[in-house]
Amino acid sequence: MLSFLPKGPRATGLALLALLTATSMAQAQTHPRVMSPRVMSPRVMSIDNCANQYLMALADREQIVSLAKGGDQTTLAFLSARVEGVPRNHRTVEEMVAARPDILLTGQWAMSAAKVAKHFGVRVVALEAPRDIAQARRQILDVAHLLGQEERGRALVADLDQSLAEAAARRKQHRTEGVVYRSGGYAYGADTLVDSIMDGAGIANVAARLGLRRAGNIDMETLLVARPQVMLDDQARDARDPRIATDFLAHPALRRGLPQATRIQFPMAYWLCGGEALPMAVSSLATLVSERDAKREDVR
Amino acid sequence: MTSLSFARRDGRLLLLLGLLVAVLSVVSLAVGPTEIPLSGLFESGDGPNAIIMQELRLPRVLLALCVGGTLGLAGAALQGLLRNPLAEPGLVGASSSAALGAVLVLYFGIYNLFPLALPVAAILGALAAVGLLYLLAGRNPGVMTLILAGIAVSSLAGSVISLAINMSPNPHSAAEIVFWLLGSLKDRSMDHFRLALPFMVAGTALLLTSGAALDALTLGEDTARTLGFNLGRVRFFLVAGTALTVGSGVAVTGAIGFIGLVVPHLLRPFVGYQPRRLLPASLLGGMALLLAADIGVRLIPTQLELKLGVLTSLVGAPFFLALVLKTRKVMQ
Repeated sequence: MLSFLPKGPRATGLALLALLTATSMAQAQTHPRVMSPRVMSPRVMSIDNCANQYLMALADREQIVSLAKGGDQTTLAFLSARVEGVPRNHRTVEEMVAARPDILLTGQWAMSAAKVAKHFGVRVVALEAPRDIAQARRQILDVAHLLGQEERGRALVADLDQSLAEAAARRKQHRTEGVVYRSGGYAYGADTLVDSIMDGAGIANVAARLGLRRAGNIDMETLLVARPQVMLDDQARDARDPRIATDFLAHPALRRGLPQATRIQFPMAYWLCGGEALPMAVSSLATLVSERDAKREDVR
Repeated sequence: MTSLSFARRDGRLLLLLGLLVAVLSVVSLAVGPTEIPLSGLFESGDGPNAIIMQELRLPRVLLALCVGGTLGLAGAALQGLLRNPLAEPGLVGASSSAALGAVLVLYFGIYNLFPLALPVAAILGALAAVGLLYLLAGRNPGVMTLILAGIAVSSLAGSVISLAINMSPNPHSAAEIVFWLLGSLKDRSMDHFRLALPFMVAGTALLLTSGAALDALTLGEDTARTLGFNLGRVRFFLVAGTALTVGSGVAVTGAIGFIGLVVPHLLRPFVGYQPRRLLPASLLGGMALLLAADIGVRLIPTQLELKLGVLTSLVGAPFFLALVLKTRKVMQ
């Protein structure tokens, strides 16, 4: 099964997306049976949390066959009001085949189910996880084109560019040194969307400075020596949720060793996907950091 | 040979093991991703050297001493009690039942309210397992009965842990449980050490005082009774001591297997196959072996953290297999 999973570079993924987009448009006309009244607006089913976000941001309500169920807490909290009433699916192949969407929009996690659906003749488009804002910007436009909603795509990109410009205008000469540090020492390094968002918001990523590429672990000892000014916790969860590694971030070594570091809670939902959450992520993170810097100056 | 020369020979063995433990403790303090002088241990103030030594590496060494020592000791005691060289806290299901107790406390957030609930639940889990094993396997268990009873208890605990993983509302909680179960001494704090220490001391005392009774048990239960040992009390001491040490250890480090199997087996020839003399030697031997393994996981270059429990299982499981084959030959 592993061989099914696309592991090539991101270029392949984008090319694949472009190719599928083109063929979907061509084939759309040869299969009028499954088309919605508006010929250029394919009916789309999402089996992925990020695809959910894209559909909510870009598609007409009638275009959405169903959204993937689950993961609302981490990815859709800010959409929850709008998601109400939209049909949900359980990511099963049965539902995919029965619903006969024009396009099945998936991410990397549901690929094996999507492959089976594809075997039954469902057209599958897989989204790669973008590794920086530039890739995310291209993906927004690609998905918008796929949905026949280019206008909305351009508007979302304009939104993103505006939030980046505002963050840049607000930025001080000295960048704040920060890191996303999770239970167990998990961090995001260079070549990740998170790194790119932090950069856009005016934070220099300490994990990237320490040589971490993609996501991985940074030893507590190493972090203590690197002395970040800001520690972002993106795993703030419902208090009722089970958690094992609670006391990791409350470790006495972090309390004693980094007393100056500001702890900021930042919802993970903002940087898991390259869609509608992106402009919000950049501007809210930039606000949090500049508020923190302002407080620091007050203290001095 | 007179008992005096036994004492002298054991003294030499214990001294050697003690020295090994001391050397390995210093090495363990010195090994880490950052280069820190050992003097950081005695530095005052909040410099990085002091904090890394005092808050990260010291608790790691102290916990290795406690957990390793008690695992070795509990293994030797269980083998004596069940008169079977294949008994071990992990294999008889005590570790996984303790892990179940701990997982439930962590899972439902009870730990955040009462930290003490964590070791207590793990100890109760271990107690249930060792008690159940004693009931299932009977008083003079054969190798097969013992192993099968251990499998039954382990799979029972394992299935409930799987249920917790299955029902966890998000993938992060599930991953946390799985990684925690693998067993590690990384990033533990002095709080963990202080939480486990009282139970470990109590359990160790119970186990160490049972040495003479274990010697008598090698001659059979009836003989032990005629020698004046209250077997009910002896059994209670050994079961409770094992549960206290294994439970509190698992509560703070997750499951670390096979230390209790390997250590007594390696040391038995040096103490004339006498359970009483094996107990203190296994205590020190367990400390040394776990310290060495914990140094190993930091020195073996891996992309992601190699978990301590994984390393001890990788070494211990083949050892167990060889031991089973050997024991089978002897039994036939």
